[in-house]
Amino acid sequence: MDSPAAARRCGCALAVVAMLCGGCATYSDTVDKAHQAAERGDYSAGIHELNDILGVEDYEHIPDEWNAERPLAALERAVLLQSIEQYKYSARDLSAAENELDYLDLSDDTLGKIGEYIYSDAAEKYRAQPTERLAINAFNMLNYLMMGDLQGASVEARRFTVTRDYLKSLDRTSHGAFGSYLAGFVFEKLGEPDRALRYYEEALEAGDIEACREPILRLARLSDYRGPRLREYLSRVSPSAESDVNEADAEILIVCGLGRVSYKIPQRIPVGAALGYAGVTVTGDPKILGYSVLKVLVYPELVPRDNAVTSAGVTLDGQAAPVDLATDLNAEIAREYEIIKPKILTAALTRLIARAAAAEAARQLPDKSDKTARWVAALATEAVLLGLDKPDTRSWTFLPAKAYISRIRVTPGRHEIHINLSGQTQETRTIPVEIPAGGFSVVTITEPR
Amino acid sequence: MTYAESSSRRIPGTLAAALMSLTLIAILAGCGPKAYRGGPGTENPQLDEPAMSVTLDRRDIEYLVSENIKAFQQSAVWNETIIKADSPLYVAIWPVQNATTQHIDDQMSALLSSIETHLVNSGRLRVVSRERQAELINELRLRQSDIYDPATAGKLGRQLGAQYFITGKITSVDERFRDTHRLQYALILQAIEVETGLIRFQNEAIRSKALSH
Repeated sequence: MDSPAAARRCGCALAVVAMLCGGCATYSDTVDKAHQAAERGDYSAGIHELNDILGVEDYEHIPDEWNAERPLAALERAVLLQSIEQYKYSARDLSAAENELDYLDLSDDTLGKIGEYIYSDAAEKYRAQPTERLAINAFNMLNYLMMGDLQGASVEARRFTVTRDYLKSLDRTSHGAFGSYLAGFVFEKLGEPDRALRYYEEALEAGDIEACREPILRLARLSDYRGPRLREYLSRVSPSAESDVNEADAEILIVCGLGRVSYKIPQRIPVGAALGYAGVTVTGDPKILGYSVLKVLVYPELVPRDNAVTSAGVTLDGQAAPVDLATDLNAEIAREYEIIKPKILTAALTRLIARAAAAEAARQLPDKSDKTARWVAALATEAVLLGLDKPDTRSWTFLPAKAYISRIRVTPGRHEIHINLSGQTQETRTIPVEIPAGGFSVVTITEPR
Repeated sequence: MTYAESSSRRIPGTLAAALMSLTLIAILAGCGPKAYRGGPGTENPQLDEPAMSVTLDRRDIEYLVSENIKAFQQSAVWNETIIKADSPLYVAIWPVQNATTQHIDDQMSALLSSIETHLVNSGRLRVVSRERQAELINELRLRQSDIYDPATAGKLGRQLGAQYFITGKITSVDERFRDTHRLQYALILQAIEVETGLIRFQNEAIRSKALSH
């Protein structure tokens, strides 16, 4: 630039660009309306908002083309569809999204791929965290069970296992007890006691689940399978009167997916604090940050939801039934996020150093420029790059925070189940069921609010 | 410039409009989706050749079924019992169990239809209608776990008047490594004698599908 005036004009223009880009909507902005509707309990309105992102008129349709955001919007819609008992469409959305998503590899990230993805300038396909990935198949098993399709549920159970094994091979195993329990139930009902026991054993990773006791004791009489965790469990748990079951008995499985997991927002953090978190893995010379005026960086931070519904109780025919928290999905999401957070901050610091270097280059103006003009140009350069530095804050925001299960043996015939939802609100749902001898019924409540 | 001079240099209005329309149509035709006809006897006979996903397509189903039927027709039960029977034997085609990681309900229907077609066209067997089987399953209110139980199949086979029933399972080994996803499918076909419950024929045909990014 030949003149100070030109430099000031350039700096002002760049600052305007930075301001405009600072107002660019993130994915969380566009999904926010759906959350507001869900918080009112109006899931259909939430689905309508998500249909806009998906580019379809109604929930009977899925997109013809998948861009970077639509698979995630399909996951969000799938939860709301399950809430309004549209299990067929929820299953379709989950399966369609599953085919379009990538995995977020939490293992050793020496190439900085996580940071590249989080701060990519181009919209990239969403990469699901391990807990999200396993939850797709777990909730889809539930969809198929609600449709009375055991074969479909068994397909999802196998997919769950493949995903779990793959994540284990990346040296990260998510909790997945909820999905393992459902898979055990599916194969038990398909008459495969060995396979069912293996899944129930996996579910025991969450600790002793009361809903596991009776089926494990019963299946252990039919199968020789004894894994280490199962062996230890059987040595501890003694049969009770309930374990002498009548084959004509019926069963009810109740599954509740309540609340929503934490979500991400763009958060500013002082550079000093970020350096403390990221450690010594930063690329570039941090000393150049001494010249930088803007000593903050922006990264995605997980914040908890204010959920209206947080727990459930079950009463059957006037008697309370035990309810287990099978998986605290929110805690699992947070645990995984703590693993990748240092890597994200490392990537942010590396970008900050690069920004400082660019600003320093802008400061190297021809000798005739005055010092003020050079500083303005440098400041504007940093401001523009900061404005453009939008971290990816996408996540599966409607994923239920907690998965509860309850399992009750009953006499065949008609029964009334009362599910008591509590949290900021208290409400009771009454669900009548009629079950033949030796049969079963699956009841589910999904309340993502 | 007079009108006469200008008109000799200008393209007449109607012709210009027609040319513009044709140009617009040509542009739009190039931009929009295009439908193709493919398969034998068409201008795209190779349309069905490439794999488009890791699930089973018609080509895979036809291969798996025909390999199994070929083996069946070379088996002892076919040559010693079926061909030598005084009159064509009755056979029921039982649902083939999906033990894969893929939702292939449509493909399963195509698979059963393909088995039925092969057996009917052999001229050696009388195939019991699958609709009649479905009615019987509904009448007896069978559970899904019972449908794939050979004891149940035998009982139902007798009620349908079949001497054999054809059944089986389709399995998959599903693996991922880095950017590659591979499925190894196996169609296992059995012919079970209704009266004794013995497996008189069994064969396995395999097909792999993979997807790389």
